[in-house]
Amino acid sequence: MRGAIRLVGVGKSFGGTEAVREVSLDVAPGEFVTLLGPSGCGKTTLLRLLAGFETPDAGQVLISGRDVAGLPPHRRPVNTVFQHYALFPHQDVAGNVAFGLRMQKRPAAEIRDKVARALDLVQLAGYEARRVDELSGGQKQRVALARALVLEPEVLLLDEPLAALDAKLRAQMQVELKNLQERLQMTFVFVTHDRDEALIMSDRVAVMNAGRVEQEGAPDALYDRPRTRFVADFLGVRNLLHVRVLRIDEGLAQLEAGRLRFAARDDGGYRAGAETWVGVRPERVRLLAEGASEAGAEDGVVEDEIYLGDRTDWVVRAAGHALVVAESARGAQPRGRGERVRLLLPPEAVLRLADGDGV
Amino acid sequence: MTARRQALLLLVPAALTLFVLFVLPQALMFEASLGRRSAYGGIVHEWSFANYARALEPLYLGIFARSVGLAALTTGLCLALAWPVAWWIAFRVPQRHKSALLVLLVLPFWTSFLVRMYAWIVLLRTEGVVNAVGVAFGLPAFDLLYNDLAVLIGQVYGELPFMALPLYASMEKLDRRLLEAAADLGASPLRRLREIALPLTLPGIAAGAVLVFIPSLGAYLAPDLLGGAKGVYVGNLVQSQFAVARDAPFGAALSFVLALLVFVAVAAARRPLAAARGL
Amino acid sequence: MNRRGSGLGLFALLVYLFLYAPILVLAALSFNESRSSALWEGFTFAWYLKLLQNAQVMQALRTSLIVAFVSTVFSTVLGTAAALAFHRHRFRRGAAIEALFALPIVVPEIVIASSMVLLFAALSLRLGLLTVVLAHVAFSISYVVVVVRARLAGFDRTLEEAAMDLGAGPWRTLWTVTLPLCAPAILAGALLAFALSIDDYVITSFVAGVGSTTLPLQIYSMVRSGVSPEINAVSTLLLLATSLLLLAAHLLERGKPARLCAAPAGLGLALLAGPFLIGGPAAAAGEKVLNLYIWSNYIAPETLAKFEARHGVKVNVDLYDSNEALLAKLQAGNANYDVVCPSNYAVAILARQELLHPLDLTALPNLAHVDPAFLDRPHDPGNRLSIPYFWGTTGIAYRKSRTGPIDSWAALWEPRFKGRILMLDDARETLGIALLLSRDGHGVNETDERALRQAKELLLVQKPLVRTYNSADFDQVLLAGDVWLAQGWSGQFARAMDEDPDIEYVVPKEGSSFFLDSLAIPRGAPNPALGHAFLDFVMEPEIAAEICMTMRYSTPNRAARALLPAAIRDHPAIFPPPDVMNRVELLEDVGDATVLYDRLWTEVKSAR
Ligand SMILES: Nc1ncnc2c1ncn2[C@@H]1O[C@H](COP(=O)(O)OP(=O)(O)O)[C@@H](O)[C@H]1O
Ligand SMILES: [Mg+2]
Repeated sequence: MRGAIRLVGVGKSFGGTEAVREVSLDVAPGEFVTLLGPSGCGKTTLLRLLAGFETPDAGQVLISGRDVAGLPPHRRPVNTVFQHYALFPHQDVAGNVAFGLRMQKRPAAEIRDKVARALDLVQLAGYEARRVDELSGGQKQRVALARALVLEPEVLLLDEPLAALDAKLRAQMQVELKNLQERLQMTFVFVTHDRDEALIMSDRVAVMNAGRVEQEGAPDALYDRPRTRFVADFLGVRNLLHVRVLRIDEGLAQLEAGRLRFAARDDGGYRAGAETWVGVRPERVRLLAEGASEAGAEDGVVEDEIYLGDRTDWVVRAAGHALVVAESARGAQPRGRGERVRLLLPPEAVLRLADGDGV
Repeated sequence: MTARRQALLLLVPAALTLFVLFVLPQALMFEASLGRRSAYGGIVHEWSFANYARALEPLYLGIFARSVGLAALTTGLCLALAWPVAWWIAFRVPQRHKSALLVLLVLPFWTSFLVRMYAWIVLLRTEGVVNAVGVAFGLPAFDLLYNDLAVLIGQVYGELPFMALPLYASMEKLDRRLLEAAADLGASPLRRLREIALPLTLPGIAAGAVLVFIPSLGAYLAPDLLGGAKGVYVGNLVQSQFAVARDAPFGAALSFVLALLVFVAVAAARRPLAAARGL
Repeated sequence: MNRRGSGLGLFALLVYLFLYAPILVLAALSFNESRSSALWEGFTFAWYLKLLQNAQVMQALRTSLIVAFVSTVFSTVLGTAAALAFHRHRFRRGAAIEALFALPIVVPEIVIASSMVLLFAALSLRLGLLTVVLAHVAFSISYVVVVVRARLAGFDRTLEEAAMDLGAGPWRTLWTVTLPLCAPAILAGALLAFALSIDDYVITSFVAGVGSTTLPLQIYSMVRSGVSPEINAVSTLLLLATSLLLLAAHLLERGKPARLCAAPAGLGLALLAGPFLIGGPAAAAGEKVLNLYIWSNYIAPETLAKFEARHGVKVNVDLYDSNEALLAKLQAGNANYDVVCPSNYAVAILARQELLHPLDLTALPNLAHVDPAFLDRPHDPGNRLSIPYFWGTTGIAYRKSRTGPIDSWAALWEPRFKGRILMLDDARETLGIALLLSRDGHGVNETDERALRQAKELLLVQKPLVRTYNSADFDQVLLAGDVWLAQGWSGQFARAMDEDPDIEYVVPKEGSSFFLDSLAIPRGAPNPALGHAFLDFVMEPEIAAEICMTMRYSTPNRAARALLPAAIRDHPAIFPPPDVMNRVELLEDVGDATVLYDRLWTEVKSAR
């Protein structure tokens, strides 16, 4: 059980705002779990509930199988890498890293040893005597990490630790952090608002919206099958359509959104005559030349082109909707604005979504 | 829970000290203000509002008005002198000189107020330094001392840092980019002052005004030493009740009226403070 | 841009000049060879040497430093703790607690002072060092709270959370993270508390008692002889010491090596410690102490030294400026003095309240040397409670080259002296001479309301001519040339006449008042036997003569007068001729009319 986390119906509000509502979540020992969500959705609050800086209004928090209610932060077997690092400006690098060990009154030799090893781990060997305000952003980040890791916590909490870094350093640190976590076999609870970061690093992602966990799952599962409009939107399913189910036959649901008609694989959730939301993955939509006579294809006009290097997004107007279609760089053909095309929405591209936008 | 307990433990010693040394005495004062002077200058404990009725006689009301006037003038002048200086330190002076200049602002206050007042007498007297300089330039000697202007100079001198420091603190927090943005949007320096700098330093102005106005209301040394005791201010009046007339009950009643005035002044300063926070 | 910038800089420079002009003046005067501040006579270090020998000033400086140090430590600790509490927790009764902490800042000093006196009396706490320190702690706490809270407002809370996260408990977090990070603010708060304490006059003057005369109190009582260059010297030194300490703090904050900061810090601390090293301890343990509470400039330190040597005791001197201050201290019943010096009417009041210790006349053989004219007066029949010490008259001192001869109080109403007239700031003395001038046979102890109102009208008529009301250093104002005629007391004028032969003193023909100051032993004095010894000591002819020589007030001691040099013995201000003595009247307590006197005097002073 060492390093396991269990949240049961945890809630926390500040005055009128419910920052965290009825969150239940299980984290296995050694797992890398990411809390993903837009700013203000309650990620930091949830992390602070784990760390002990806030007390929940409702629910239970168990760490390593133990209910930690009433346990103050300094008695919890967790450590935090803070959002803006929170390095002590009046202590040097070694002082910062040694801080927790000194709190535990470890012998000086042991402290020296562990600090050196921790700095080694984050590739900052030799920086012991540096003042923290003389460090670069990346170095500060590593010191914060070393300071938390040196205590060998059962759970490491990281609050957007990479948010302040530039894109390149960030990509590098994502890999490093993931490797480190795998090597240490430590439970990481990682907070970010960056979808790609979450998908790259995590064993499991919990998408949060307005204080709730809307959906959790392994990155690929989550990506393949977002269940709510919010999650789909956040994971980059760009085409969200409100549809009416016309009928269901031969395992296909026939859908209608205004003048646009298309089919989806029936997963058992469609009801004839009902209305629902669906998402259409841009990369699964196919673009055909004008006049192509594929069954079910719709006529459309190219309205915009968004060049993204490895792929191109086309905005196509068809049957009154502006739909985004993504083509990988290899398959893409040059198209001009106003060019007529045909658009094919294969049933596999259509995902049924619950109306869970939280509003 | 521990945080609350710790906070309470930290707060209680100071709060208790202040309660015993400030709140209790005020209660005693109030009780005394309802009494009457005994023949030997003690307090006869009776319950009447006669002293308050007396405090509201025109003679004493006039003295209160005069004190309010002096305090208001002092506050205005301090603001006029301190604002530009604080601004200069906050925005025109290189970072490394700032703290030295701030220290220089308060350094004179490590000498006794009395000694400084006497130094002003030496400066202002008929055959004093200022007149000596003036005479050297062919000016006639003026009677600079023992008038209301001298009182005002002494008061402003004594209170200036209490205005300058809060002003500086509020300017320090002012985001320079706001001024640049205003300039970018075409605001003249004067408009920037009126639209940005003054409203945003309003908390400092209000804090400074409170810190200057209140002690000035109770001033009694400057009027005595520099004013030649030719005008009576509340401070002198209260002091003389305790130290000359030995009429502690009346002195206590006057003190309470003075305290009331102060609370009105502080309440008045709360509005701009609250408004400024709302910005 | 540049032009505007330099305009602002020039303005700032002028404001700094305004702030420093008086400081420069006092520093310069501390090197002035002349005692008077009116003229520059050359450079000297003499006042710094004299300062070291002035036991009273040095003692006051020590007291001030002790009070400031102790109260700074306490108020900084309490205030910092409270600021941290506010930072850590949002209290439920927040507004009430905030108001409590705002009290010392928003309640005027004079109100604080007078209410604390009532408190200490109610607690029957002996006025002295303890009460002074308590008062100073109380009024500085809030300032420390304000300064430290300002710093904590910008504090990054996650730093504390990081510490807790790393296993530090709430107290360790406070100690290892919060406190070190707000150390500059705590230091600033402490310096402010120190400055407030060392400068406080108003509150201290109300709550001080035995052995707690601080520097500002000492200075205030010394102004009777003008601020002496010694006071300028001690102020300059104090300023130098604090400047050095602030410089050290400044260097430290800028991250300069400790080695560099050590020099100014050490020098500053050495200057502050100086008074303790030079003066030595106040009283060795077990040594007997005589606590003397007396008017300022009423006895010379050399005279006291003789008494100390003869009896192997230490004399502790505290000073006051009015009988009312003395009465207030004795009536509060918690002062603990051995010998006090009330004027005749104050003796009467104290006698009626049974606040004086009956004298054992057999222990006072030197009473035989006192002129019988001053014995057995109505305020103390049979001298059972007091012995006469000094007497003096109220009269006019004038600059004869400017005014010509003066012999009447009416001169103080002459328009040609407009703006050149000084009157005592004293209801009894001013209304007194107005009563004498009314020619209806009123004396200076009149209590009839109509007569007093008429006298007030007379003073109102005079007011536009008056340059200043002053009963502290009136002689200095005359010497400095600000006025030509001054009402005042004989002894101080006698000293002024020594300095400037152009000054003459007269007791006008309409008559005047005189005062008789006595020595007495308060009831409950810790050491009445030593008190008797002191009373007898000052009545020894040689000693009484010495006191008269140094202080220039008139001695009632007949044998002593015979020992004085002719210049003093026949000095018109000190020992006026018999015809003068026939037209002066002793000031008596006027009982309930005191309130009327005060009110009328307030009316005069507040008139435009
Ligand atoms: N101490 C607090 N007091 C009041 N509201 C808070 C506090 N902390 C967080 N909130 C509110 O709770 C919500 C969630 O905040 P937070 O957990 O910081 O979001 P995230 O980290 O996901 O951006 C926000 O609406 C925020 O304003
Ligand atoms: Mg956050």
